[in-house]
Amino acid sequence: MTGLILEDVEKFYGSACAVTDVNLHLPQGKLVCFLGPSGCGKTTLLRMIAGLETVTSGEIRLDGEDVSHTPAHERNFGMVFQSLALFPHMTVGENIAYPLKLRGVDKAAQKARVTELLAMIQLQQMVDRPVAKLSGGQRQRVAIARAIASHPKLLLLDEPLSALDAKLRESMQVEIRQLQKQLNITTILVTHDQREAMTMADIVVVLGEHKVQQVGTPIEIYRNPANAFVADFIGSGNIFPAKALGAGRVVLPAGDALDVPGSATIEAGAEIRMLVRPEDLQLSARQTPEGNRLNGTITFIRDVGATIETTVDCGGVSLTALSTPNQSLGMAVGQGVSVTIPAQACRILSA
Amino acid sequence: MSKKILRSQPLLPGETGRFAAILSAVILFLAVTPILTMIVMSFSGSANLDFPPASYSLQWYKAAWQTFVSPDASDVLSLGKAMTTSLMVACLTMIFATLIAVPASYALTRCEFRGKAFAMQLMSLPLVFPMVVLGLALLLVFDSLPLHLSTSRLVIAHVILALPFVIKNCTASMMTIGTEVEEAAQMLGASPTRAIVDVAVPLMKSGILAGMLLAFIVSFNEFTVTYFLYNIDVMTVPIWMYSRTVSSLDPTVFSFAVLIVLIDFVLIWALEKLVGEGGVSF
Amino acid sequence: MQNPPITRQEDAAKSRRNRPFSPTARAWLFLTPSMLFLAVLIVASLLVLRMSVGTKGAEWSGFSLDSYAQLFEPYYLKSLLLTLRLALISAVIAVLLAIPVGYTMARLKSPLVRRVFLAAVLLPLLVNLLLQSYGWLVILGPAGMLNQALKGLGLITRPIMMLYNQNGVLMGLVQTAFPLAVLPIASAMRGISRSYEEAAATLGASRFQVFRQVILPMSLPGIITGATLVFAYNASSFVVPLLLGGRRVPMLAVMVHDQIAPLMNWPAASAAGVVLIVTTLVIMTLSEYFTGRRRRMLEASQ
Repeated sequence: MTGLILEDVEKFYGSACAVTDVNLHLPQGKLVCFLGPSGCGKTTLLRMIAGLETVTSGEIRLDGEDVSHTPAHERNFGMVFQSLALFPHMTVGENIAYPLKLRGVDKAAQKARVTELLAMIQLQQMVDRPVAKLSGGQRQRVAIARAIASHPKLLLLDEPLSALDAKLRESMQVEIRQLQKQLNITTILVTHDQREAMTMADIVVVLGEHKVQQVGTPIEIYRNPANAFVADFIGSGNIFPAKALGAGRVVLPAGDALDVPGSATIEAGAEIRMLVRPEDLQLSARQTPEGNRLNGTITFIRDVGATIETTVDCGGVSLTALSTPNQSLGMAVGQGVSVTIPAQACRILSA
Repeated sequence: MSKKILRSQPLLPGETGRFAAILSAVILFLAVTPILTMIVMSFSGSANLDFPPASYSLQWYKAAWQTFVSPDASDVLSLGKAMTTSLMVACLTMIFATLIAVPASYALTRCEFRGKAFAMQLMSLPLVFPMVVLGLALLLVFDSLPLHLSTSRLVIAHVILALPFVIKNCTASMMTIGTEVEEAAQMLGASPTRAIVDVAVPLMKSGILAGMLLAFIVSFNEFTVTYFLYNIDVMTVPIWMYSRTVSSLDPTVFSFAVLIVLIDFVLIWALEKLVGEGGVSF
Repeated sequence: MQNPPITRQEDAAKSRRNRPFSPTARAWLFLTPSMLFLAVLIVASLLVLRMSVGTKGAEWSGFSLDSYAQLFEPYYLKSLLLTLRLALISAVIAVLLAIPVGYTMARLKSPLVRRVFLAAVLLPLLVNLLLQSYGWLVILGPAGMLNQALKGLGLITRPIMMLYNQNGVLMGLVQTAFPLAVLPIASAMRGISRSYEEAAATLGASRFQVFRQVILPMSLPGIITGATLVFAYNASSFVVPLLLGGRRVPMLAVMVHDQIAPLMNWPAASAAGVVLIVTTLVIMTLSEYFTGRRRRMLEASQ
């Protein structure tokens, strides 16, 4: 079958585990994000796919062919490094032409391809510009152009946008995504920024503690996180402990009871962890609690202009609700307020 | 109306203070005193060692020029021949030392292997190895060989002595170039060796050149080990100067010395230009 | 995907049979030429070692420890102690002088001044000591400028002997080996980021305190390296005691030379040489141990 397949891949440095038990099928033409905190093994995994690290055990197959033991320079994968690694002693044109030169492409064809790529990244005038004279965003684009110059089968990006400032990063995310779709090239992007993953990815692979935690589309992962790790990492979430009472009801540490249909299958008395997304919580003026409505006191308000995050302490459980300025109740810290947790917004997490 | 207060700016942290700068200047001045004295003496108008000289003249330079142009019958070896030997040995040392140092420093910076710390230590050994013993030992080695090497003996000895300098400079230069550029070259299709040639070496250029210059300087000025290994046909300039002064002090030698200092100065100037902010590494 | 990847013709066949060179093998391959030259050094040392246990007349075939026994005679012991003492003192002085120079060099901005400084630092090491000793003679000798000036001022009647004794040799040792201390120190100080000094300043440290409490400790590996280089270099110094010590300062290297010419006692020369080598190696190892630990500590915190 086509695409990239990782089978039982693991990497150990001596006895220290970098990543283990990796089984992935990444379909052709999709943009996949390896997402996770630092040290989770995502860069190691990318480098193993690139051939820059050896695979301790397992197989990596591209379109049915085993590439696990092919040296990096024969895999024909394009890679953009975190530092971009543009050759400082070459001009923009020479950088982009380098992979073509290595493959013995004749000068005229090289020039044509370089011109084509420069047009694609909108840097037509920069052919003879030394790399040092480019801005951050321009360098980004040159690095990408160089990586795809030889029509590689796979494009690998290792935290390519981490060195850019916020605004530039956001626009580059869109550009890269559009370029990828235009070329229809299978792409793997490593990042620790979940917003980046949500923006760009067709498929997100969440890595944590040296293992794959969940694989799915961004929205799937957001709505149905497989466990507490993923829930905590993607988006902000309200995660709190509770005890199942059976028959679709749970009780919070302070004694408030909630209707949670999803808990019906859990035996009474079991300790569980619940997830509610901030945008699902509803704030209202303080009223008598009933159903899934709790009372609490506002402890913190974060007003960032476009949204307002209100943190409420409800009987020891800290809940943050997200609302737009239009929905604001004009409250202040210290005021009493009611929080409604819609029953269908509750997710139960396996530890 | 605003008045500009003319007051010296307080020294920013990280800048050289006046105290340190003046102290350093004084120390360095003292360190080069004998050399400066020598330079002044070369312009002396009298034939004795009075300092400061009673009069100044270029007589010794004229005498030196004479020696250079018309070799004396009793002067078995003219300065010209010694200079040629010195330059040739220095150039060969420079080339060979660099050829073997560049791969060595690549291995020392990029590769992780067993015995790496030991290898690094070994590279500094010629720097502190007792030169007298080295001269003695090399003499033993070369004399017991059936081959009759003359210039090669000197080149081999000088390469050994220059090696630490070149390697340290190249390793310092390599460390400033990250590994990612080479990995990038590999990903683009260059074999590991090709990646080194296409990317690492060009970026190391100034470090390599600096090392070459250092090797040249070391070889050109080397005396102690050369003293054990030279013979009448193969003599370097430092040995030649020594042989001229061993019987009587001829002030002419000062003018030669000034020439050598001038050559050294120019080479060091060029060296610093290459190395720039990074500094010469030891 | 519209375009097939551009590949070289041989690639397809190559990938199957290609096995990458083991990194250790490749490293040693690169190191081999250097190792060969350094091997000459090692072979030379071994030869000297062998020679040191030979006997005069039957250098390669004989075996005796007489040469080493000879080293314990008071004459040689004195020489050894003298050598170690002078080397140690010169190392301390050289380092003390090198610290301000190294600091200035590390922070210099003007390229012109940098070049002058580098030349001033390297020249004493490079220029033939024979000529420099004449320079010293002219200034500090019994008939030299300083003595004549002091006589002229009526401060002394007989000339002060500043050369041709231990003090003269010590001065020569410091002056010629001083560059060996400056460069590692300058290098270490250059590597200390300015932000440490700035941070200390914002916390209230005066310039001197910053120097003493931040820069000096952080450049300790460079200082130790410099001291080691000067010590080892001076312990085997030959030309300095020869020219500036008259016959009165018999450092070990001079001993070695004397045994060869005129005594032709190769085993004795070799034995003294072995002592020199061993001393050097011991100092280098100790120094590497201390600086290695310190360096790792500094790296870990960055």
